[in-house]
Amino acid sequence: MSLAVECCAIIGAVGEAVVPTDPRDRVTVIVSDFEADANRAGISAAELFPFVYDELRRLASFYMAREPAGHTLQPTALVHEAYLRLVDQTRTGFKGRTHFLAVSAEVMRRLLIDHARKRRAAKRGLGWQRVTLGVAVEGSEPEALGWEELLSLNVALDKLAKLDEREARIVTLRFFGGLNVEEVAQALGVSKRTVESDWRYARAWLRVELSRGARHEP
Amino acid sequence: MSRERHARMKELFLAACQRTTGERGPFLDQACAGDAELRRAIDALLAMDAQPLPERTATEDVEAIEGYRLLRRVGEGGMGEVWEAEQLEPVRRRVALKLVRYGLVSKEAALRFESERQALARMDHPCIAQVFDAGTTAGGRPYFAMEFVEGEAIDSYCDARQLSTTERLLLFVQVCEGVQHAHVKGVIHRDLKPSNVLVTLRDGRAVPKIIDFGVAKAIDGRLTERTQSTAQGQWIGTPEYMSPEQAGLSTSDVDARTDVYSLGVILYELLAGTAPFDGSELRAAGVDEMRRKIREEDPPTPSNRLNALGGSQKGVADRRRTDGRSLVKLLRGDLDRITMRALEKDRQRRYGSPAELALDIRHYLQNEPITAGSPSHGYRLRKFCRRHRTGVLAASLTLVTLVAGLAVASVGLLRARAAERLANRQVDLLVAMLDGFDPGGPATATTSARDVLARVSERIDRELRDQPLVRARLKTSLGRIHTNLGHHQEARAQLEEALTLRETHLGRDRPETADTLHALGILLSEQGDYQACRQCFSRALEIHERVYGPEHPLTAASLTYLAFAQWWLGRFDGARVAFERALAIRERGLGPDHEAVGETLYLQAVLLADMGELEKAEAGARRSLAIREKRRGREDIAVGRSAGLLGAVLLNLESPGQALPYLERALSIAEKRLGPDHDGLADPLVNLGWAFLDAGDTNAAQERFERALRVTESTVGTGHPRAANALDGLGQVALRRGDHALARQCFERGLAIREGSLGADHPHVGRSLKGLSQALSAAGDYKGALAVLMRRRALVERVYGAGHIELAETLHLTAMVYVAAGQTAEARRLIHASMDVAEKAAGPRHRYVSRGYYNLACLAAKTGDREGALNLLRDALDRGFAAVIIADDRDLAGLRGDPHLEAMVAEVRRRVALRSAPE
Repeated sequence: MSLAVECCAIIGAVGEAVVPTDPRDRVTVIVSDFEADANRAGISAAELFPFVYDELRRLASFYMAREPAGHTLQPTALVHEAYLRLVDQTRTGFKGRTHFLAVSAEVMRRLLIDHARKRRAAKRGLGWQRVTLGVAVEGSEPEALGWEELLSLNVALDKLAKLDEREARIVTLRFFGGLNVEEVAQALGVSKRTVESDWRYARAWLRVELSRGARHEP
Repeated sequence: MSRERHARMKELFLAACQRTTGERGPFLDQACAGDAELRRAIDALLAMDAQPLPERTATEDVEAIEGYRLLRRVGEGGMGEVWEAEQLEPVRRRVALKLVRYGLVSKEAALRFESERQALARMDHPCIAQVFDAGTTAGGRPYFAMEFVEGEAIDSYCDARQLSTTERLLLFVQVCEGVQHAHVKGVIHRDLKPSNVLVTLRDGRAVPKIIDFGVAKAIDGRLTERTQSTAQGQWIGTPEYMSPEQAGLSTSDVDARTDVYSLGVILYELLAGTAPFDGSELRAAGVDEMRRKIREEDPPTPSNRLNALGGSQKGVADRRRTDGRSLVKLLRGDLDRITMRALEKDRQRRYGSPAELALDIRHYLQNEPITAGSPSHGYRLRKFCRRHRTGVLAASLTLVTLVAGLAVASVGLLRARAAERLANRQVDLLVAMLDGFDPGGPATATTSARDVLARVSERIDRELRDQPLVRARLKTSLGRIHTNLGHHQEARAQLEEALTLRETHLGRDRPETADTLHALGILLSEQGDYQACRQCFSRALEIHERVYGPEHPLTAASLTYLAFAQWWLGRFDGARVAFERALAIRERGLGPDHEAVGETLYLQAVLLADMGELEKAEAGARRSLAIREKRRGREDIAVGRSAGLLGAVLLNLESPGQALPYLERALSIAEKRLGPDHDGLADPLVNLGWAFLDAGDTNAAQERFERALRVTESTVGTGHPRAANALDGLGQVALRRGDHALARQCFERGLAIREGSLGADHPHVGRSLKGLSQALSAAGDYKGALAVLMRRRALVERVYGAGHIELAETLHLTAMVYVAAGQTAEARRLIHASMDVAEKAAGPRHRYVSRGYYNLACLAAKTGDREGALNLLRDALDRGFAAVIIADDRDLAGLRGDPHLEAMVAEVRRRVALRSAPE
């Protein structure tokens, strides 16, 4: 006797179809939303923040654990890796990517400073000892900064921000996000020429400031 | 130091930089008159600016690579850095070591490259830079050791030496031959561009050398050749050289003709001085538009392009030792045709190989006829040109914004400040968020995003107390963020407050309110509170319809969300109507191929399948799958869901052979994209379980159901309706094995879950009731089984209306209970009733009809009516009966050996085999 045991295959639940649960999906949606409407920049930056924060934190600790002690951390490489992991690039473009990198640069800077402070407090090896920035402060090639130098740089940047926010922002984007001139221009909504002038001045200013000698953090 | 002073210093600094060294002094004397400190500061800045930048020679940061000695860094490529190095073993020679950046090579990509290394080693051509070795450093960074080529990129080489068109063509032909050699060895370059073709001098002759063969393949497929980025200021890839098939969404679809296209672009540049598509235009347009352009737009011919250059035409011609007009004349005709043939969108129309391209060029150089003909009108017709794609709209909107921004900046200081303020405002919110990151905070191990968000919320409440609307906006964003991260409680708090604020200060009818309602509705749906969720979307829909009208995308969005909520509430008709409306709006507004249409189709198909309209569901699922594959790539999670749905529908349509590949694909995509423990795996797993159960493999089925239950319980909890799906399966497995007690437990548990989360009136409750009745009947509790079935019947009639196929099933199940209880007359009556309903609802070949005949045959056989039984069996087979149970059903024991029966058994076996075959 056939018990009419039907295979009632379950039609998939719809919840996720409306709200993507894969973080990569969500981030890509945020970035592509931004791509479609750049006026959402502030909102989307905020929406991106927690994902970027978590991802960069994870990546940083992963690399710190993996690299033999004494090695250099490359924040811009991490930022780019976060981008690859969190964003489906077939669905976003230059604008979205730049926006993402800009957010990441800010987050990265704060993560590094926080870590450098902890390290100074601990007085012991805590992973990376040097950091290579996206562009050089002194030379033509980016050199590796020790964590003390990084903290001094941060102090200088904060000081610069009080005098001109855009200049400090440009420096942050380039140092910690590795953005080039074109990308910075896109991120800030200004012309390339403005970025170049500001950068040239800010860099000279920083070098003067840093050469004045150790300015320790309060 | 004040801001004004800082700004003034910048002005003077920049002005001084513009002047020659001699002019600077006097200029600054005048400008800083009386302010010695200012002068000193600017001098210091200028000194720093002018300081020669030291060369970095240290190699410590790059770890040692065994067998090589690093000498100096020579450059930064798209994928990493390039070093000049000395190979030490087995032979000493100078090589170029390319170190790929972290994160650019995955395990799969590394494996792919392994297979190509052999091919690379076999290449031996004067125009190809040999790849000697590849591997990974101790630190896990991939590297390639290549022949060290000292040369100039082909385009700048030709320009610098002002090579004539003929000389350029001769050089180019060599490049084609090199690429051809590689193709013969089975290696496609995939990333040909001028910077990958270096020209060196060998015995006084110019020899082009193609570098980076095989490197592109080793890089993770996701980012392929055109979308790399570097930390050092190089650009996101080289879209100018991307072939149309690469600009499509499937990156695996590359063949030798892709290289032909890239060669075409290089040729174009050598002839006309620019690439067919302008790089900066492409980049500014955004990825969708960029890809569309490459795939669909025809670039101008080299001669037309040259013609349109205007002023720069002279420069281009100069670099080819001729004048503008002659050059245009030269290019027009054969050279145009050759180039355009290499650049054909349709691969079939391109030259089939670099050798063919080289041959045509040779013909041209020898004044012989070429093979590339003149393109016809019809061919020019672009099939894909659509005017109404959102992609285009979006691109133009943002373009306008950008242009407006630039215009503002150039008009005057005041308005430039406005632009600056706008740019800075973009940062405000973010800064507010990041300043929640309290540097002086407790020195605990890790601050999580959750903590930071909590601090941000406090700040918002504190500092924006008197700005309710701004607060509402920020809180809506926070609510979304929390929802995204799964923090339901925080999300709800933020969103409910935001809603109150907006309703109070803006009114109930404003789009901003609708925006918060959407966010809140989505959260509620994640929590499973579908009643409240429906209310939110319903209100949002009202607002959108009133404010934007019935054809607006936001209206469609609200409709889609609402339909989804209706579906979960079991209100099928309301859901169906809403989906149809939403689909119509989206198809009208976005075209039949748009992603939003694909999404709506998917949701609609889910509903249709749940309602039992399987054929329509299949059609919708197939369409949705096609659209999503096209728009999102084959491994996207949404594609996985569409595939899973299609598989489930096919399974219910009794085509397990066809269903299985889709179901397995759904699972594999879900595993890849979500990880092994995500609750998004539950549905694919359950469906696969059913497939295995159908095939008789109870062990495999059980394994899938158990895993599905595990991932659901460990993520969304034991009360989520999805757990009941897995329990259905486990219950059926238990029934198959004869374990009635366990089966009963499973179904009762499932029932409790569904009643608790969906309500006692939800159609899915019927599934638990069905299983429960079977378990009770198998245990001999016929009264209990009948009571359960009565409840199911009432539910079905309420939800689906009279005469629905689900009623037929309920009647059939009831009949089976009577059979088990020995009351054959009643059973017969119910079987007939069930067949009637089924035939009216779904036609005479529905399985409830054919199985009805089968069961009637069994009843006849049991009472000894052989003739009657065989006739009824024939009736069953006539209506498509194909259940393998006929081969060993005990009820038919009296007929075993009868040739008629055996013939029918053989026929059924044949049908089952056919049915199990894949597509």
